Amino acid sequence: MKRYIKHILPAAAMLLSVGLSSCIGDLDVTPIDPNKRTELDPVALFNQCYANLAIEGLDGPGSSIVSAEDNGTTGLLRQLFNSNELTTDEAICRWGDPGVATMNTNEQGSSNAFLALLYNRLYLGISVCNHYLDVASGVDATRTAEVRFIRALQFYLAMDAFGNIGLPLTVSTEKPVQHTRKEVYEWLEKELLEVETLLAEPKAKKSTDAGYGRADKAAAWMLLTRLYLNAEVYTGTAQWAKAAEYAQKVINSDYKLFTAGTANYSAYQMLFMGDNGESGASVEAVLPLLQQGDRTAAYANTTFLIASTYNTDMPDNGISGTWAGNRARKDLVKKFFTGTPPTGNTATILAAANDDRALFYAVNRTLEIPTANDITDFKKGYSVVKFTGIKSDGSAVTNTGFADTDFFFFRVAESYLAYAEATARLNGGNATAQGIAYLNQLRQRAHAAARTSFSLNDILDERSREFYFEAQRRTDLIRYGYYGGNNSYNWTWKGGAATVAALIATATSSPCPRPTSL
Amino acid sequence: MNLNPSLLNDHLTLNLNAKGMFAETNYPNYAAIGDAFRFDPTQSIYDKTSADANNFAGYFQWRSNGAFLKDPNYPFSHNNKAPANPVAALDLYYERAYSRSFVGSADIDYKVHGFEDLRLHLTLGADISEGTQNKRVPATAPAAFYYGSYGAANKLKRNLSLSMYAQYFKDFNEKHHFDVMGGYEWQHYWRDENKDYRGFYPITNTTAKRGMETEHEPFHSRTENYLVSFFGRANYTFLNRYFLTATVRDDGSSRFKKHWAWFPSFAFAWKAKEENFLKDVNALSDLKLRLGWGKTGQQDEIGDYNYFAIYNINTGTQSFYPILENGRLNMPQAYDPLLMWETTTTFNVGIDWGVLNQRLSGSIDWYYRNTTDLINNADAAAGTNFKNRVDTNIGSLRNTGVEATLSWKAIQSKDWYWTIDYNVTYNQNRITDLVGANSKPIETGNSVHSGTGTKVKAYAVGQSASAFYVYQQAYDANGKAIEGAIVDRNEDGIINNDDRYFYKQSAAPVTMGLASRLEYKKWDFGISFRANIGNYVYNDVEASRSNMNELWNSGYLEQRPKSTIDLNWQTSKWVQSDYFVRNASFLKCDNITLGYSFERVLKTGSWHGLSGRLYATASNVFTISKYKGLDPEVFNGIDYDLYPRPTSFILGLSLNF
Repeated sequence: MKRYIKHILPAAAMLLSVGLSSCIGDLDVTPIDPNKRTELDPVALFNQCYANLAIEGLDGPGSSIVSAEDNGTTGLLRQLFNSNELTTDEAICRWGDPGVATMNTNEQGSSNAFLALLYNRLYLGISVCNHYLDVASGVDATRTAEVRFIRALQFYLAMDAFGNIGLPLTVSTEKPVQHTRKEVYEWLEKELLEVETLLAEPKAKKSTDAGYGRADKAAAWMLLTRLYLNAEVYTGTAQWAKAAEYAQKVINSDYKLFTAGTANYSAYQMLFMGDNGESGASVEAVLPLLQQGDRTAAYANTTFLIASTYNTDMPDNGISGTWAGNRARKDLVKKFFTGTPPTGNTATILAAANDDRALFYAVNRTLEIPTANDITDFKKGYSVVKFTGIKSDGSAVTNTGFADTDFFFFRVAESYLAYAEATARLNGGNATAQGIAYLNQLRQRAHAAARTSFSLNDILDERSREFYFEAQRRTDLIRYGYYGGNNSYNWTWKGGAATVAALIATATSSPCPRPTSL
Repeated sequence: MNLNPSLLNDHLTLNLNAKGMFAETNYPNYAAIGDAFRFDPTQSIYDKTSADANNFAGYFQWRSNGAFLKDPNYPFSHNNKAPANPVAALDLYYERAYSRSFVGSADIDYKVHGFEDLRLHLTLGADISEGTQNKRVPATAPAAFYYGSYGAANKLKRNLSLSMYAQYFKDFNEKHHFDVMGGYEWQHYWRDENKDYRGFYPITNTTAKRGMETEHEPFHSRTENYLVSFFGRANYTFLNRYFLTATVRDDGSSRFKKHWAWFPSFAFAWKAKEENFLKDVNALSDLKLRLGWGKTGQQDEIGDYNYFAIYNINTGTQSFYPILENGRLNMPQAYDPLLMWETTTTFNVGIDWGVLNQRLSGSIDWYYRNTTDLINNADAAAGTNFKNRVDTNIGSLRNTGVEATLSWKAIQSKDWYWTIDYNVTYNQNRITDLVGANSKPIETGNSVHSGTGTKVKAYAVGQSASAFYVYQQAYDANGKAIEGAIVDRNEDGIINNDDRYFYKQSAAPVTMGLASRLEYKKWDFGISFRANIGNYVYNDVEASRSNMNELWNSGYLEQRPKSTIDLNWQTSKWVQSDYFVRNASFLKCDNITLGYSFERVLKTGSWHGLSGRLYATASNVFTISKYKGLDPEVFNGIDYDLYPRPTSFILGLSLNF
């Protein structure tokens, strides 16, 4: 017995301890997945700061870094379209998703799933920018300035949509403190004015030029223009003069209105076609969001704008998607016609409107959407063919599932309108001579007749004709006081009634979303 | 192959096992189930006469404009909003996997020489498997129309485990018995996956890519996790009537930053029947009281690297954003460094009893189970993390209930034998704490198939975890549900989410089972039943097809259940109504078996002949339920594309030589 205890027990104990010490350490793993990395790659992180504006995820379209039921709905542009267009007099959607259907009639509430996606997408982008600034701000001063600009842009969009938001400037588990809209405005103004001096000089580019898609001084000026133009809504104090000043800087810069149409397509049309990054249309693009079907593809960017506005009975849109969702309300179409708008194909409508921007399709369509059930019928209401995947030079798309069409987030045309409106407001509600000249340049580009005067309402209508379906309308209606509250500016299905009705005292921003799903 | 040597005078026993397997598995196209349900039944399956019939392999498909394909042979493409032809979906799909596995284990048991009360035990196990799954979908199939999809996925899996313990038994004298055990366990799970799929541009394509492969990039991932535990157990028996067990575990997982957590448990049993005052009570043949308390941990269904601050890299070919260099992307991963073990604490009291010399016996248990630090994917406050949802510890759940079993040997005679076993369980489940749900319920569960993200279940404190969260439907004088007529429960004049309420639940509060076995001489007859009472199901088959407005609008026709014509709702705006939540309590007959045993058949001289049993079994025999859908037994409570459970009949013969 003693012999065994002397030999076997110590041996067993030694074996056990040797085994144990090597095995407990196994719990401290390091990731072996080749799709994960622990070291910082500043170039990749920089790209990611921009990518959040344009694509959804890292593993191809259909994946998303924002967790959602349908990953293809989480992209920024799609949700900006939903909240800024479906709630206005421009667009209406056929689909029954509760997130979308309630926006058609301004009934979106704090539990709206799509508002939550917009909120989460913006704050995710802000977190990535904050992380870059925490770990890689020393790499390159211009890049740091650009990341600060993108962060400011996303804070601006959040403040415009939700009002009193949190302003986290670093990523930590501490919950961000809610600031008032005025505080956010002041921070944004200070940040943008600082960053503006550090950004690159304004230079119009094509997609083959280095730096296409990057923000430069002109982008900061355009964001400042929006900030100042809407200052009365955000803070109670108007800043029309500053808005005009920064709009003028963009107009005087290297970016220009694109006017060189081809035999088959007008210049305005080419701004929204598959090769708008290559054809020269990008001379007008101050901040393009890149898209290319085989390399930079997304469901919620221009692929969404194109596929959701087309049906199977319409002409080819260049890609395979025809989701039949969004189309024009009667109020938008009537901005191009004084009498009854005609039906027929796009060429017929363009000829009758005498304006290149009336890109509608009305074969087998009615202008009216009479009853609530008709909202779900795509054929009630004119279709919009403004966005397309087809290329003006006839070449093929790189991937038939996804568009190559870039989205021009800031277009110089906006500065023309902003200048005209800001100076008109300082001029008793009528456009100044310079404002009229700028607005007529826009009309001339669209081969529409020039006008001799513009009232504030005329300028608002011109904005609609130029920028419909580009996710800006709600902000403009709020600035004019036409969105919520007791006013006389009505449109079909405003607030949910078929006949025109007033939307009683509504807030000028959407409520902040609460966590809604698990 | 199995080796069972016994060495050193039975002190060392080894049990060595090795098993090799080669399997071939065929995977069908599961999308065909949904297609079969939606497809227009008036269309012919085949279409061999259209000009472009060859593009669709001679099957009928709903078409749409094909100009974007830039191929003169393809005037039409498949309409990808319409359901695909289900026969084509099954035929034009090939996915087959070949896998090889090795499962081995070694059990080594050693009774220490000269100190036989001490036993040492070591178990080693390995499960290694490798599989290749080949997929070929031709260009005529809607799933991969025009290009086709060809490729394979290769998976390698390696699970290793080691467990060793020492056990010491001692009977001090007749009254006391004692044994103690201490040990250590280690497990490693490792997985590697490689996959790549591609299609081809046909030669007839007019772009520069004709004849070339579509763009593709191989996908490679690898992951692993470890589990290490230390455990000990002590058993003490006094007078063969009082039993006490204490167990303690220290479990560590590589999935949490704080690896380790303690999980103790205690149990006490009292064989009351052995007591002097009950020993001679003949009416009572068994009485035992059981008490238990314990904690267990859970770490399943979360990723392996949840607490690391690392970057995810873009994969595939379509997620580049070319601002700088090649446009590669790195996204910081959302993580929770404080993620920890989910712990369940259970307390139970039970009585085992028997009367009439165990002719009638049973047991009854009451239990209380509290789960804390529930792990789930929950909302993170915007701006505090790198995703809006992250795996985190979100709350607590309580399950409490009663379980009873009854066993009755109804007939026990020379030729007849009949026993009946019955069991019933009542369970009440409540969420007791939930992060983020303090003021409003959190929607959960699978989305229903109307719109995107429409949900009909929610979590809230004080409710069951499987409760439905729906609007209250209003009906007309004839009892028909009126579309859009929702009861304004909070009487604020608006119908919105605040008017939803918690209604029933999908998990059955009461479940029962009944099994009967009757034997007469050589015959045996068995029958078993199962019942769930109080479970409700949301009939998404009806709800998703109730939008009659869409019947003709889409350019193609879809099949609908007859109930939607009677209901005659136009849109899918109000599908979150309690009208679609139906009582799905059921009684199922799981199994009926009839058998005949025989022996000494064909007996000749010294050979004892054949013996065995001949039997016939029917399974899933019938279901009794008020639910009008296909099958009331729906796992998560939302009935959509359930594949029907077959009733099967087996005729069998087992022979002993």
